[in-house]
Amino acid sequence: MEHVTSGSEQKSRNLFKLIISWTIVGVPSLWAVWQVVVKTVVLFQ
Amino acid sequence: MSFLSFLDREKSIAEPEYNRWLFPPSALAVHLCIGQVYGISVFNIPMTKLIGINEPVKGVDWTIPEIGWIFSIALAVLGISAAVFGKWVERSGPRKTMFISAVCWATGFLVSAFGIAIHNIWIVYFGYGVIGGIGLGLGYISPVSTLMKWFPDRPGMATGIAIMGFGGGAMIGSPLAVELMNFFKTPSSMGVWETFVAMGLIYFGFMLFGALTARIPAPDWKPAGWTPTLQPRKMMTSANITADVALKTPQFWLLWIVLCMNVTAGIGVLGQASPMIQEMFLFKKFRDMGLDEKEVVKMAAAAGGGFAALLSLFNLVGRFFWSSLSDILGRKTNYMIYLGLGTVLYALIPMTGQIGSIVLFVVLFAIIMSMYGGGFATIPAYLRDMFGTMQVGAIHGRLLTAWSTAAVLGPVLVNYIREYQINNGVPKAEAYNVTMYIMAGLLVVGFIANYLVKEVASKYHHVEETEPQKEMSNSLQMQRA
Repeated sequence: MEHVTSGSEQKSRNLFKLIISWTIVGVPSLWAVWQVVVKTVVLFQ
Repeated sequence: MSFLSFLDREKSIAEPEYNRWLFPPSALAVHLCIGQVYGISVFNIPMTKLIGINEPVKGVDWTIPEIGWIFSIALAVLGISAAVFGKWVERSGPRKTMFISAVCWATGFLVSAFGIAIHNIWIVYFGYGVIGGIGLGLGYISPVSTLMKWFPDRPGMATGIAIMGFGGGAMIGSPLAVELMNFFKTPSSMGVWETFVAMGLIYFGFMLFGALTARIPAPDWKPAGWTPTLQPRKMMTSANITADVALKTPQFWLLWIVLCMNVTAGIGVLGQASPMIQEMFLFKKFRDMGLDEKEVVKMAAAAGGGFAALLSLFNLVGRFFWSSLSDILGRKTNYMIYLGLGTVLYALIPMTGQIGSIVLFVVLFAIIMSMYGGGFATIPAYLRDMFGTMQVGAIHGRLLTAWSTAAVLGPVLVNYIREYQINNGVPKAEAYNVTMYIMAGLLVVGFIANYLVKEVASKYHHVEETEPQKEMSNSLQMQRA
């Protein structure tokens, strides 16, 4: 039997995908920004 | 190959319920990886000690200028491959292009690892420079042109996201390489080839995620609630111009000059930022604090590294900020700001040395670097406004030859002028002044080129064949056959 996806089910599926995708690229990016912040602190000490 | 047919353009057309905000992470996954090219200098010192381990062995170990060619070749091949494969990228769609980009980028690392292991620099030139360079070219343009298709209402912001990722690639790649080299280092190995293998595999996985999740919008798709204005804004065409025809327009070459001048000025000083702040301010500052010479050098190097890191952050943020702003101000106005304000700021840099204000120096440089990044990020949307979306990726690819030119011109210009002055008795701390004025001059050239950009004449517009026309040309072809 064909499964029909409801609107709200689709929305939550999209939201889940969005969270996963942005986390995958966001975590290394934030780590890199943190590395820069640590280095920059030396400049103004 | 049928088992790779899932990479085809037709197979990657998004279903109606696809959320367009899912594509920026796919684009970022590729750009964050290939942006590592800007952090390749992290391998410079370790690569000079592959044989000697503790100290370079003269005549046997590689020298810094020899290693420097790896970066230059990679950037040159980036521009060439983006120009050559641009039309193929448009035809094949983002999934196939991003996949092949991932394969080339990872293969480049693996081939280079082999070259490093057997200590043959020509293999590294071929691996990272040529194979990796092709991966760079394909991976750079494909996500950008697709983002513009997903965000026709905010193309500047969309391309800003991807190109910001490219700027961030070095910020991830450099510390990652340091961590990996420390992990793999042994008394008999610098851990460089092992790091190349590990990075190649990590990047392949990351880029594969980007390629497999990439989707293109259906031809008739448009954002919900958005209707294209029938009367487009000034300097924004609703027509399309093919990549081949674009080369015949003055607008393409004016924009080539704009990008080349903006990047030459920026790239020239970016590489010099750390020694510049040290020689203009930090040596004096730490000496005045009464530190011994060894401590002065050590502290200045650490603070100089911090300054370079801060600039890379502004370069990154500028890509998103300025490019998003161009959706409101218009591309031409944005470039007037980059090039006009940039000229003034470059010319003011020597004054900061004269009045001894390190804070003003840092602020001016931070703004300059943000606009350098902004210049990169805004150009795809400028091209879209001028030439339409049909082959914007291919046109962007051809324009990137300006970047390759600037990547050679900028550092050469800065280094040559500086050496010439020092050899003529100019103190090191003042040797940057003339360089700054010359960079300001380059921006004036770019400003004039941007000022001359007008809308593309209608004679260049691509005209779609109507059905009767298509039938007629088909029957003519059959008759000839």
